[in-house]
Amino acid sequence: MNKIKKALSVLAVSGMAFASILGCSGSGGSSSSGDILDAEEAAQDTTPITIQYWHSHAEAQLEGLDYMLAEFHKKYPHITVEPVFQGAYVDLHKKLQAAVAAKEVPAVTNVEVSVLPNFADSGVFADLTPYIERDQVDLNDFSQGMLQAYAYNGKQYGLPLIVSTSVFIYNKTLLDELGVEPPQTWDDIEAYNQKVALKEGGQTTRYAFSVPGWDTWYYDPWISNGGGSILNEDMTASTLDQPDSLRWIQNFYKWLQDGSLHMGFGKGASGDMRTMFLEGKIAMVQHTSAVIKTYLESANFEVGVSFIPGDKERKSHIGGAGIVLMEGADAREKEAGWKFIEFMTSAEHNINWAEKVGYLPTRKSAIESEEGKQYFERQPQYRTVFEHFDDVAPRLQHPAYPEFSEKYKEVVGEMILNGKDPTSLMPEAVKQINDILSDY
Amino acid sequence: MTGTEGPGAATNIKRRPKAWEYMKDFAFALPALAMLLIFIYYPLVNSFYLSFTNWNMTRPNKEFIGLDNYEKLLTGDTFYKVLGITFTYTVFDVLLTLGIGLMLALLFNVTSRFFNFMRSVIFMPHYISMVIVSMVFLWIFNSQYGLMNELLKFLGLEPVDWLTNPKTALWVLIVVSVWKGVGFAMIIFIAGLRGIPLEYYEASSIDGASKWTQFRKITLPLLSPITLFLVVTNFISSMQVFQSVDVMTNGGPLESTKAMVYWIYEMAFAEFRTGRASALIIMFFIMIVLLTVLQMYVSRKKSITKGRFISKCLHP
Amino acid sequence: MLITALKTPHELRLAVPTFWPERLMWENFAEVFRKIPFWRYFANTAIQTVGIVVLQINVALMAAYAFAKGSFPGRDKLFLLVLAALIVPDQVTFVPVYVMMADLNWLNTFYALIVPHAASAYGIFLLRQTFRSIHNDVIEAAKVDGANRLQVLYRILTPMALPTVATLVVISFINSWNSYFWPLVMTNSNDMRVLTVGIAMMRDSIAGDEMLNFHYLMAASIIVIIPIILLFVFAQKYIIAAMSNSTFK
Repeated sequence: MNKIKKALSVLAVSGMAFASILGCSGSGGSSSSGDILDAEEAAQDTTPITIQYWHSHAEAQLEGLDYMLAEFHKKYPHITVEPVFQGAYVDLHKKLQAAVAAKEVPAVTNVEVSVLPNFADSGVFADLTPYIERDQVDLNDFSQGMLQAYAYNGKQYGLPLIVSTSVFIYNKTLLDELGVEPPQTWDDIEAYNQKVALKEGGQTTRYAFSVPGWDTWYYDPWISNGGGSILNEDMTASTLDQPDSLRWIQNFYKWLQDGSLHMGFGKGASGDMRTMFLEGKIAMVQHTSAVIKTYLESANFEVGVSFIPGDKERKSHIGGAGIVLMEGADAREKEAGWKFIEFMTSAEHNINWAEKVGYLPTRKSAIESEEGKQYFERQPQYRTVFEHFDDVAPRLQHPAYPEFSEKYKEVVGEMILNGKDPTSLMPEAVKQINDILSDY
Repeated sequence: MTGTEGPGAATNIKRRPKAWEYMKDFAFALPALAMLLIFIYYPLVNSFYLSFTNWNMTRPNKEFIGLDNYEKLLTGDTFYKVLGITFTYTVFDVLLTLGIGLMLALLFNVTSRFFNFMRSVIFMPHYISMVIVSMVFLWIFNSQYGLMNELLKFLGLEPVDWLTNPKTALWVLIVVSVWKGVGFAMIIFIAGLRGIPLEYYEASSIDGASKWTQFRKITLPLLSPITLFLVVTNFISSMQVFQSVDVMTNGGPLESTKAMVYWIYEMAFAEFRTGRASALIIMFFIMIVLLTVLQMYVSRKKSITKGRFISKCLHP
Repeated sequence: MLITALKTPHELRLAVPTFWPERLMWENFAEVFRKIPFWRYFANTAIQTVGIVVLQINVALMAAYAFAKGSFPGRDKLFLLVLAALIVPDQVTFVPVYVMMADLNWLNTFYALIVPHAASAYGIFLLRQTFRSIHNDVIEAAKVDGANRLQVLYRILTPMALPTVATLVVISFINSWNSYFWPLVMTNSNDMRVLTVGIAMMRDSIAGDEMLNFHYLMAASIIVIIPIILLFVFAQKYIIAAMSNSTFK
């Protein structure tokens, strides 16, 4: 009897829940983004508050995070930030979506740079501009490319937190032995391949270099460096089948065919590539600057870092994650969250944070400071990256990027795994991309 | 439950108490029905509604777009590809699980300490969390340090990129599922085998039937209700394959392991197309219902004719 | 394949020692306890499991009684509705349920982990089969003695169906103990994670580049499997017997 009663009450409660779901979902949002506290009020309010910070920081970065949290708490004793690890970026994004649908969001979260447009488009993230203006944060101090990557449609939705870019990581010991330099332009590559690739009976035993096929982030800059583009100017159609836009992949195809280029694809491919590099089976790998640290720690040879080679231009793309404020959080949570964001990206801790987590500093003043100079002395490998500080460019921003990038990634996969000619596959991919674009 | 249920009461006044009795019986089924309605059927109805919209979960409002989602899915190639992968997986998973399960059942259907132990060992994986099993196999089939490639190297064979090769990845998933599922099939089959009266075998031995004939004419037909049960349950769980895909392959390489439920999940969460994913849910649900009913219908018919056949053989 | 099926359970337990030296292996275990709040996760898993088992068994007993012995219009049609629920996976229902849980403020609570799993279609099916094999006379006799439905169900039928009930307890225990997807979705905080989720979260990656920490994962997995192995060793005869007896009558 009791059980029935209980069950019935659950049913009744759930019934009400239905009604509210079915009724209307529009009434949810409590505060709009415009009404923020003025500087004085913000400083005075010290009632204790706890906010959640959802993140994807890998284990190696946790020490740095703990340090920052402790420092933050010293500065703002009334704010407690509870960090919650939500898995890798893809898992974090799924969690975020569900949280938004349920209207139960954390105050602050990481977001991987390529999905920012989609979330921003749906109004999930708060525009930081009012806070930035109120607290007079000097945006010019940030690397402009990095800053732009977290702006969308003219609004600053986030700030760069853990920034990486893809670089060539090479076996310096080997290249010195062979007397070769890593290629700086596409024209250098052929000669470099000739000298470095080793073949035995038609089988490559040492690849000249490797470009990851598993993530478009690695070859998107190759597309634009070769003079091509993924989408046309007004982002209504794909241009990937145009001659200039095909140069990168036709080159890759040629180098794959002659056995000088290695490309990994699919899950686990990055581990394979790393192992092959460490075993000397690949002389140079394109990889994220975030793992330079890992390579330095595990290689039994000298490791060098070089910016990826250019042709018509020489750019590499921004990767990693930014830190953003959730629109659905209430005003006080947002206030506390903003303080946390400002702190995490401040110039004061920039070098320390970057060094601890293995990502790049983002602040010009920090890089030029005494601390910054010492940093480059300790981490000479990162110097190469900063010589190209302004060549680290934002990625293509489009809400459908996560979906349509799969299409040309598939062409790359067909080329790598099944040896198919990409030129003949690209028109079909372009058709599919255009189809996706037509919904936006 | 206050009503008196004396023996005389029911016989005299029939109509009202009967309705009342119905109510009381129904009340017992109510908690379960309510739960299923709330947590299974309401979500399905909700998906049905969402399947006509372009909702993306994060946007506050949704637009009605009619049958657009269905049209896009049915005119694209991916739907058929994913369907093909799901069916390939399901067919081989069910066939291998049941086939090997039956073989093991025949092999271990003897009571002895050793065989009891073997049965337990084979049955065990059925009870290990699929996430953990997937992580273990992810390691076993790792192309650089996996146990499988160590084994191949030891045997002097070329190592294989199990999970990064589109030709092998699906098979790895099938192997994992079969490994996890054969024990259960075996146990159920053994139960079935033990339920077959020995006289049938004795009678047919007298008639001079070989072991193979006995297996074909007695064992298989008499196991058919059990086989049906296993086919249906395995079919349903295979069609729903998700966990191993999520942990081991993410649907790749080259979409070669993109099974239906994983695709639904990806579409809703990685491609921000909850509406279209809902359309897929609806089609998928209808498909499984139809196929399950079809299996039951076909097997029923078949087992009935076979049953008659046996009785004819035994009692000519 | 046969060899794999036979060998791998051993290998599973041996996986770590075959690849890493014995000494290191124990460190891995200690490391697991250091990396995750193991006992917190353990307690969460235990509460979730017990909650689901208790609820599922009782809901299923009542429903099975109604569907096997009760009579009301539409009984068999409604039973089909129960059976059809078997074919709907969590992955297709969780979005609306998640939103519902959020509206009830149940996210990150045990309610969200337990209540949606209160009705087990499989359990209802299995118990109904068993109840049907029990003769009506038993029930009639009890009713003559003045027993009401609840008394009939819990004092007469349940003891008679004990093997099936025990099997269900074990199955439901194992399923809840192993569940991953549901607790992953329904909880967002460190405090509410269950073991499977906690362990899967140990998979480490930097910028999509998976770090190879299989040794920890394996060590953690072994820790999670142990209770299941114990339960299995203890109950397997029972399970096998009950499963064999009740499923196909």
